[in-house]
Amino acid sequence: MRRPAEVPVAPRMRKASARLLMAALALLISFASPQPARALGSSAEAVQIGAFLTGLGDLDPIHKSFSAAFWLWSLSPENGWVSTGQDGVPECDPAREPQRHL
Amino acid sequence: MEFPNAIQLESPNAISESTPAGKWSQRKIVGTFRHGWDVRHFPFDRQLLRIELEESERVSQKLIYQPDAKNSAHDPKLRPSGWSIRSTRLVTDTHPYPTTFGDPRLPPGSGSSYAHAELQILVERTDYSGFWKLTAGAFAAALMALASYGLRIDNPSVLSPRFGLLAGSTFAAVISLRASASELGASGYTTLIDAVHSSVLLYILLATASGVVAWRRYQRQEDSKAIQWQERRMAGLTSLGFAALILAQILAARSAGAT
Repeated sequence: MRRPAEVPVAPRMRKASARLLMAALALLISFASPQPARALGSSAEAVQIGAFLTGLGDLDPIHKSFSAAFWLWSLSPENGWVSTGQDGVPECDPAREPQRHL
Repeated sequence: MEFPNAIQLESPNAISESTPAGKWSQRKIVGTFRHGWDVRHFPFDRQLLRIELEESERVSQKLIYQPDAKNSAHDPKLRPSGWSIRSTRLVTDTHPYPTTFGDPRLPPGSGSSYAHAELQILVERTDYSGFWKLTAGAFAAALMALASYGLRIDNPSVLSPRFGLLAGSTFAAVISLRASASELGASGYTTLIDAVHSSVLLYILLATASGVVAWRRYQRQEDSKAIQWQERRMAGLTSLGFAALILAQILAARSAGAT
């Protein structure tokens, strides 16, 4: 009895399948494992800032303080304020030092 | 953005608009800020007031500040009481920290840096009345010491009032020194006001020494006129020296304060 002839598998196809399998495995591993530390990009966004002083007073050497009022502006190609709240207010970051934030 | 040296802040008005050059945001800031006062040369002092601004979210590799130097200034109508604004400028740099604040995107132990800016306001004191307020007591004490020379040592009944006057003037000078130090809030260095008080105390000390010497000469029954002449000479010389010393201290403080 004749055995059915084996269908020859082209070596090219075998290589392609192996590559596909490897890629799928790599993708799976990358999703399953924690994100590795990413190096930060070197291109920094330059935000132009300016200030115009409109008030100065309470110059107090005893309490080592003074009071000031001024307009502060920023011109950013991307986001406006460097760290923006929902209304464009410089963002509060109470975790770091609440007294010195807006 | 944060204000590292702010004690209290309010932000009553804000504007934000998109422009062809990017997003322009403007905000009014009203606040109280910490400042390390150097009153060494008071009342001829200048103070460089600083309002610090710092990015709190993105590190300097992601974001930097550039000063809008052409538009950053102060209102020319601004006249703070007793002071004159010499200049205002905005400077930017980056503030390095020896920590990553736990940011997992940065290599551990590598440190981090954030965009930083300072609004620097150079002010000069124009009201010198504070000097007289803080030294009036000391100068009154010096006058009391000068008056003590008028109480002749050859009259035993004035001996006690003379030394009493000197003790009183010393007490007045010391009280004035303590009050002025508290008023100025100076610590860790000597101010012009301290130097003036020290001169007054030296002047009183010399007046006391003169009285003791005169008293001892009187006890040895020396010539009364010679004792009086010596007292007058001592009063004149120490008073001239005192005036010259005060003037030199004021001129030195004035010249140092102007630089």
